Amino acid sequence: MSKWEETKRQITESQVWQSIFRHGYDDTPGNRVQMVSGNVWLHLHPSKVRRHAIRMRFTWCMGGITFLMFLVTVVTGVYLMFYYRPTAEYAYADMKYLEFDMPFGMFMRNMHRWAAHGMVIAVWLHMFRVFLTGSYKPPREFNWVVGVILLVLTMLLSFTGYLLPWDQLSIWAVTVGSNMARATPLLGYEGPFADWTGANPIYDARAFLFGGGEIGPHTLLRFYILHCIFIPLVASLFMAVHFWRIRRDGFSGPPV
Amino acid sequence: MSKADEEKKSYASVFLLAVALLLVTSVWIVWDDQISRRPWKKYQYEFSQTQIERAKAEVSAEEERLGADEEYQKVLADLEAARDKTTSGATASQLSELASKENKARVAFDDAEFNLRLVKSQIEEAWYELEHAQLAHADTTSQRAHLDELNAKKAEVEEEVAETLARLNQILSEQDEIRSVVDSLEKKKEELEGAKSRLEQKVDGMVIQVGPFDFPKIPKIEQVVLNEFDRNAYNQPVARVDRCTSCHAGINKDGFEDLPNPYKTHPDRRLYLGKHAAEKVGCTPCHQGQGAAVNSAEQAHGHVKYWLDPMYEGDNVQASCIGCHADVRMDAAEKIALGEKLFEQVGCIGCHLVEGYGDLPKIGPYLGRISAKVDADWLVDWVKNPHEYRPRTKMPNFYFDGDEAEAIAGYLLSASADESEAWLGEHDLPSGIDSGNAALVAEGERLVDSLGCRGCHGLAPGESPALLGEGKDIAPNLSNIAEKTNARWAYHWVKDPRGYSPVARMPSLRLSDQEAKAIVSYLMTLGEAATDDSATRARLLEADNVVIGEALVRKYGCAGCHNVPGMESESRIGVELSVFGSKPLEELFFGNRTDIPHTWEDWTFNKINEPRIYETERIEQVMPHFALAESDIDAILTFLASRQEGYVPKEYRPSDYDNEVTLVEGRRVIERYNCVGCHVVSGRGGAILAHYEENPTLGPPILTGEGAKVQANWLYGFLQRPVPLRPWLEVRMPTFGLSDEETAAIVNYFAAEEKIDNPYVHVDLASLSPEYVEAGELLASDDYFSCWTCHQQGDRKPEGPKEGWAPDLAMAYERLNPNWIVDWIKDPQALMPGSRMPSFYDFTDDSPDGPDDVLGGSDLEQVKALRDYILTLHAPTGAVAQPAVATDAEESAPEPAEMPSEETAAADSSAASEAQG
Amino acid sequence: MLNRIDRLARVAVVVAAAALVSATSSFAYEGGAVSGGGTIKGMVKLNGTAPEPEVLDVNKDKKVCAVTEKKSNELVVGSNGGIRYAVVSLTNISKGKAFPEGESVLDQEGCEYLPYVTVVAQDHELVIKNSDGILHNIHTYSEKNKPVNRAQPKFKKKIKETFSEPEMIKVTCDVHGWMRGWVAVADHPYYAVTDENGAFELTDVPAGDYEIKVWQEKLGESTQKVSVPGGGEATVTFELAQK
Repeated sequence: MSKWEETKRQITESQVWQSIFRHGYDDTPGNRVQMVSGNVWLHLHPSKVRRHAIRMRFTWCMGGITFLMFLVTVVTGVYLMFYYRPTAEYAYADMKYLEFDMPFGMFMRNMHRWAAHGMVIAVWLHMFRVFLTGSYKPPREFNWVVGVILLVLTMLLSFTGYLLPWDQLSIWAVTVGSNMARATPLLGYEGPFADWTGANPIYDARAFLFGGGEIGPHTLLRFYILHCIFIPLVASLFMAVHFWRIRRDGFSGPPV
Repeated sequence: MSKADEEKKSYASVFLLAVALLLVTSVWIVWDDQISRRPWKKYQYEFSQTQIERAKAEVSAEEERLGADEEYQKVLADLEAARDKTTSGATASQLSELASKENKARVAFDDAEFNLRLVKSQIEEAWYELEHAQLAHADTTSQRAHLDELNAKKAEVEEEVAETLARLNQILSEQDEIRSVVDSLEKKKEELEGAKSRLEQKVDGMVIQVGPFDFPKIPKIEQVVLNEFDRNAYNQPVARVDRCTSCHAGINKDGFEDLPNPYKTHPDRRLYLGKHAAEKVGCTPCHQGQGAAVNSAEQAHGHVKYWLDPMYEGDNVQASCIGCHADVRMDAAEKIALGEKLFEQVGCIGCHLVEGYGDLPKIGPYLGRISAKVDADWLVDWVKNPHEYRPRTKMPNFYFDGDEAEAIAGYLLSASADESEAWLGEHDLPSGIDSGNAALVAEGERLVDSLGCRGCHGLAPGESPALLGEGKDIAPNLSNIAEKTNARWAYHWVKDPRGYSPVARMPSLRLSDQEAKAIVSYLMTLGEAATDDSATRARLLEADNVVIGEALVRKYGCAGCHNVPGMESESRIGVELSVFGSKPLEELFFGNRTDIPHTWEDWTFNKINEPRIYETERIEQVMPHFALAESDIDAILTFLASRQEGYVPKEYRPSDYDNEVTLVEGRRVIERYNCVGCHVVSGRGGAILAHYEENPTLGPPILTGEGAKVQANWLYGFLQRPVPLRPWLEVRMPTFGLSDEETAAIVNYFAAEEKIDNPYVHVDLASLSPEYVEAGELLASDDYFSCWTCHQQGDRKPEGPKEGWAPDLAMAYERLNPNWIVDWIKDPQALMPGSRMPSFYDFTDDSPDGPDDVLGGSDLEQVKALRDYILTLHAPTGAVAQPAVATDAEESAPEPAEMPSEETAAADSSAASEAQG
Repeated sequence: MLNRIDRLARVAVVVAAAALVSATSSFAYEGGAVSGGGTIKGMVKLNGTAPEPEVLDVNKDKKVCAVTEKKSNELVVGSNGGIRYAVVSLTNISKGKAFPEGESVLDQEGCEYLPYVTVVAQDHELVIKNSDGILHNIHTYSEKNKPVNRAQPKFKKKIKETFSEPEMIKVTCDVHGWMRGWVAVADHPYYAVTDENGAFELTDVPAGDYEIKVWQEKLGESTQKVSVPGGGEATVTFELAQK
């Protein structure tokens, strides 16, 4: 055996190597299975798929793209979180600094926005696809419901994120969007049956959203936490359920 | 496709494409972020290169110079020769011998030193033992003996140390001697190379050395942080950051004036960046712009949407001066100074409120008795278009048509009727005024020429002694005055302006009746005399007309500039302009105009130039036309640009800001009453001196430095009631009737100009030395300086006519600052160049100029003695008595000079005896 | 009295116009030996009738000043029409004779300036004497040179003043307002003041073409061209008219 071979063998048979890399990379069926099932990131996928499952023109990968967009927003979002302070005095200025001063700040912010738009577009397309291919039919009804919940969460992510630059566009968009809440029956102070619950301008569904009677610094903080922590966490939970369901029920396309 | 084929299908091409795209995109991202959007790197790099090139050029120039310098070359040659000597031959062997000796000596010395240290520590040990024994109450003799032994040893060793050191030093000095020639030559060489090594160091400081290559320094962001300069939307102080120097790398370095921007040195760098240290003040407080931006010139200069403070263009940068400096009357800020002055004095404040300028008195004349003053026909024509009668009047043109003008004239005549009747009842037409009497008219003209009327008024068409900006008169031009008013009014006006108008700016020249009659006779020959206006009056005073007139007067806001009877509490009709400079473009109304560029500057310029330019069919504009010259409009524009929201915190303003405020307040009064028409104040003004070019001493005195010259108390009194001080002058200081605040403002102005904190002076006569007073008296006498040949001394007048006299020194005690008297006598020409008082001393050299036999021949003591003597000349009772000096003045009594009037003579003598204003 | 003034004037012309030490200072003008030089002679005439000179009003220190009647010297015309106290000079000469040695003196005697026009070389001391024993002062009016106003009390018999730029400088006394005199600051020795006949002479002029100028207090300046033959004579006549 040559020296190179010898060295290679010594490395790959050492305890350190063996503890990290559980299987080899030779093209054996065993290894192929191990590659997928032994990897934490990939093991949601089946080790083998039906050919029809990889027919792009059936799914157009919209679900996957949505998830990809989600990941991109998470990564770029983390970068943005380092430099952004969710207080009224600093929000706009920090956004400006990110845009113009931070190395790659403009890039990260723009990526975040593109990915966010991309996610919304992709999720709608995904929903259309699922409907048009009938992939909501039994046994997949509950997954559709989870998907709708995810859709709402995606919209909410966009909504809460829009406030964070704290400029005129942000505040008025949120004002308009949240004014609906005050017309809610029972829960909105301008809605029917408001007096049954004692809803008033500083204590109703809208105020709950705002953290007060008007949009202000408290709203910004609230939306920031919703946007960065709460909704992503909830969305992750629901995504887990959604993906597991797909795995369990299998791809919906007919066999080729 | 079969299963196996499916698996074997290669996606390599897809991956390759994806990777390629990713690579391109990544490179693009990095390039865009780090290079394209950071132009300052390029600018800094290029500037550094230029800087290095120039520095290197300087080095080579210096090298060349040294190459040609004989002395230097000689030193080099000698040095080499000397060095050669020390490296070979007898000297060299000597040196090597000494070198080895030195080594041995050093070793010996080190050993000795070491031994000393050893002994010392042993002694410490012995002490310990001793003290230990003492504490234990044991026997200490052996320890003591041991200690003594060691001490003895120490003394021995110390001696040895000294010996070895001496030997070593001797060897060293021998070496030095041999090398001294080389050393001194080397020193000389270094000295001659001094300039070159400094320049080389300069170059080294600019570059980064990497092996044989040198690179300019790596560009980095340069910024100045101004802490707590701005306020955010929540009124909290926040810092402002200026990064202008990241691109403008050479702005604060001399020597790059020839380069284009952004490499250029700041114009007048020592003035602007010297007095406004860049590290303390940054750039944007003066130039505006978006200081924190660095991604492009456009962004940094603020020429982007939504940045409210774009960089000022050209001269408009002066708009920011007034944000920090209360006083902008300085050479570097002429435009804003003119703008502020015009804004205050042309009358903008009559309609437009601006914070800080709200309390100024009304610009226009008093209309409460207008019916007694003017011809009715004239009044109608005037209201219709003032510029026809007087092209340079400040009153703007409202473009009234004939009916409107008549209505307004009618209202004014009607509203002022009662007051005018009363006034006329007390002020008759005196006899003796006759415009047909050629001699009287000639006398009147002569008086007008000599008394000082020309300091403010022009008497020929087009004559303008006192201009505001390019084309506005401060005081009315009188070349056609006969068309406007009559002799009766003119006579009483000229005698006592305040008797007619309580807010008159025109002062009284203390005219005698005869003088006034002559002057009025002359004035009434200027222009075509007005004809009878009773018919016009009757028509104007019809009730309907008056009612329409009143409405018009209210609508057009006449009460903003004039005291209109019946409208004392009307407010300004114009828009408030306190923050007009901050007005965003969206809020400016361009009407239907499409030919005007949409910028703040263009809107404002055109508005002032043609005020009703933005009128539309449905939107009326009432602003009248001021007919200002373009340069004046530019200046006002700069002032308006300075009316910004926000303010500069006190820490960033000049430290003498309060002093500046005093100057501004005083100057307002000085300009309102046109003191600068006659006097040079702070180096500016004195228009009337143009008439005295041949002999400037016949004109009004220059007042620069007045604060240090006179006692504040005296000045206050003088301003309230002036008296003649300089007998040779025909021009007269008028009585202005200033209020207490106005007088105080002027006095404080002069003190502030000289930066005097405490303007009060007390002369303690008891502390004056009698020896000095006597010496001063002697010096002033005919034996020496003959002061009394020109100066008045109370009642004693010098020989000859008044034109040859000098001021009364008896007034000095009350009037002059004693320190100033010394400075004046030391060198009068320095304080008042061209003065008739000659220099008696010359303190620029050491040679004595005064007599040797007075006060030991000391020039300075003699000057002080003169000062002390002068102060005693008119002191309150109980002070030093006046000496009786027999002079030529007494022997040949002065001929009584021709007095123009009894009043003036009385004023003269009262001045001499009272010596107070 | 006239003779004395006349004599003094001549002496002053000869001494002052040619009297300068050039060793210590370096002029743009180069003075040295001149061989084969010519002479410019001439006259300054008045075109028209001469006005009667004004009698000055002596109203101070009469014991010293009013001993004789004083007349104004601003336009003194002789019987032959020659104007006195005009200053004639070459404008464009850079090399010629050296300034001769000697002092330039301006005296104040009987409360008038003697001579009326004094010529002094630039950067050379002008000695100002006070022969009257009363207070006088020298007040000059000049633009190119720094104006001067120095007192000369009776105990200061002599003071010195230096002027660095060529100029015609008016001199007055503030104590005695009628006193008037002039100082001509010369950049080269070819300056002459006309005598009572209006005549002047410039000697040792190197041969060549020059521009010659005349200045008179009231009538202003006038220039002409003159060609000086080597060893010979050139004649120049100026005729000045009243304004």
